[in-house]
Formats: sequence, structure tokens, C-alpha cells
Amino acid sequence: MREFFSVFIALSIALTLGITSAYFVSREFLGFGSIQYGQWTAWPNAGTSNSDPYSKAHAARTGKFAMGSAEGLVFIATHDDQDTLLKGNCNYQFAGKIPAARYWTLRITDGQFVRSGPTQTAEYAVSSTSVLRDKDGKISINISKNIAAGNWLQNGGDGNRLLIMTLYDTSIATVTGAATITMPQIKNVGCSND
Amino acid sequence: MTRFVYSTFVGLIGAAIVHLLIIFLLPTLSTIKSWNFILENADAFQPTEILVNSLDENQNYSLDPLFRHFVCRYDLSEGAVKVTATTSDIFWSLAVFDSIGTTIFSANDRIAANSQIDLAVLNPKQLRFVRQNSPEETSASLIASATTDQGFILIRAFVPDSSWQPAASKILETMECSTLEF
Repeated sequence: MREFFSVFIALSIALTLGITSAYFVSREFLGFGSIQYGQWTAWPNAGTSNSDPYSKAHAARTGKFAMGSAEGLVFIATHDDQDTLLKGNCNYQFAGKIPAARYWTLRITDGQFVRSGPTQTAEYAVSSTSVLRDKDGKISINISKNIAAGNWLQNGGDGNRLLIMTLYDTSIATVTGAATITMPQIKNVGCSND
Repeated sequence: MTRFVYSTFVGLIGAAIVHLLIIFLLPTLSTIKSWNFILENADAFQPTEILVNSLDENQNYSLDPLFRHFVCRYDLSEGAVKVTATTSDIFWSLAVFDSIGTTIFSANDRIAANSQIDLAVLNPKQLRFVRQNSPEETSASLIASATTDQGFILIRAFVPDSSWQPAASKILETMECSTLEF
């Protein structure tokens, strides 16, 4: 009887812990082999035959269409410069230079990658073809609930936000001496509690 | 008590094994969601537009809302596939996916010699034939070699504002997806 009890404990721990951890990790963990510049993270190997088992499991489960290396690279930011999670009720300033790429797009989604914004007509995506630049080629984009002068991306609502910046036709993933690459900063410029 | 600690310890090791087994087997044993989506939404050799809104929340971040996406599903057991389309000064890129959702080839508009998208996807046998015989049909094509017979080609066309819609529509209108008989 005591034997049976020990086996029962070992088996139930193995199955419940093993299955639940695999369930959550395959959904939330995008895989190893990420590259990170500032608050921005990219997974250059995602969707290629070089990707690791976690990345493959995540791809199989979520059904993402990965970008090929000749197409571009997707960077995701979940936190601002103060390492605080990006929120729907806060205003941010996205500022700096974008790494060399022929085109880029920037969009804002909620924590589950769904397009966010309180209205259907929200300005939820901007691209290199439409933004204004200053005389040094720097870009500043206001991410706020209410429309702002200059470049604007609409935020609003509750919950977490993700900023997704896609660089098209870029060599950033293959560049060595990556320390020279600087990414735009995401500065919190105030939150509202209503 | 020691017995209890011991069985907990064994349980934890077992949990690690179960966890790794699931992670490693997930891509081969489960249905691949992206491939399933293509199977349901695009007929083989039929150029099809994938609308970002038709995807579920987890998928749609990988499709940029400022792009339009065109797909051609192929089955190389019916012959090699050749995709052609005419473009006009628009940024496009393409990727070839196999049926487990891995990108096996990618390209962008700078790789194309002229304003034509011309890509052939071949399995190893067909590739050998093309190398040995250089047939006319693939003489100007980009060549992608596939290890599995089933898969799809995804073309992304940049539409930063509505003035680019005609150029993107032109890709879909001129897109052809045909089999090559060798």
C-alpha cells in the first residue's frame, strides 16, 4: 500500500507539473536565440530550420507566419525605458533613430498581439513612408490617447500594450559588432487613472 | 517521510521528462496551426489573399496590417510549382513555408531581376532534373528547394496608404500559380 502511495505521488507530480508547464511555456515563451537592443527583442531564428525546440513548439501552437531572413525582422517591446510594462492608459514618447532598413512599420497592440485602440479608426500603425523626421533624421512619435501634433499613434483603454516594430530588408540580424546599434527609446510621459 | 521526499523528487524528474517530451513532440504530433489555416483558406495552386482580420489573435501579429498578403498553396507531388506576378515599384517580399510552418526560402524585390516575381519551388528530385536539363520554364526563376512536398508561398506587398492599393492589387491580379511538368 505504501509502495502504491509513493508511485501515485511521483506520477501525479510528473504528469500535472510536466503538462501544465509545457502548456504555458509553449504558449508564452517565444524561444531562445533572441537578440535584444534596449527594450526591443527580436527572434531572428524564429520559423527557420535553425530554431530551437521551444521556438518550434511555440510556432506550431500559435500558428504564426514567421518572417524569412530576406524579408525582415520583427522587434517587440513590452516595457518602457524604466522597465515598467507598457500600459493602455499611459502616454509614451517613442524617440530616436531606427536601424538601417529599407522600410519599417510600427504598431501598437494589446498584450495578446491584438490591434488595440478605443476606436475602429484608430491610428494604430505608422510606417517609414509617413513619419516626419527632424533635421538629423531622428524620429519622435507620440503614443497617446488624444491626437497629438507631429507623428501620432493612438493608445487608450486598459491593460498591457506591445509595440511591434518590423524592419524590412535589413541586415541588422547578421551585423556583427551589434553594440553600435541603437534603438528608439520609449519614454513614459504620464499616465491617467480614469 | 524520507519515502515521501523521495517520491516527490522522482516526480519532479518525471515532470521535467514529460515537459521536454511534449515540447519536442508538439511540432510533429500536433496539427500545425498556420498550415491548417492555409489548408482551410486557400485551394492548391489558387492565388488567394489572406485578410489580417480572418486570423486569430495569436497569428495576426506576424502579418503586418500595413501589408497585403497573397498565398499560393502547393503540392510538389503533382509537379514543381512556379509562381509569377507582375509588380510595379512596390516593396514586396516573399517566403516559402513547408507544411510544418518553417520558412525554407525568402526573397525581396531587390533580388528580382525586373519587375517580375518569378519563383519555382522544387523537391530534390525536381531540382536534380532542373540542374541537369536547365528547362526553359525555370531559366529566369528564383529556385527554392523544398524537402517536403506540401507547403505554401506567402507574398507580402507594402501598402502604407491607400494610394498603394492598385499596385498591390496588380500583384494579386497577375499572380499565377502553376505546376511544371518535367
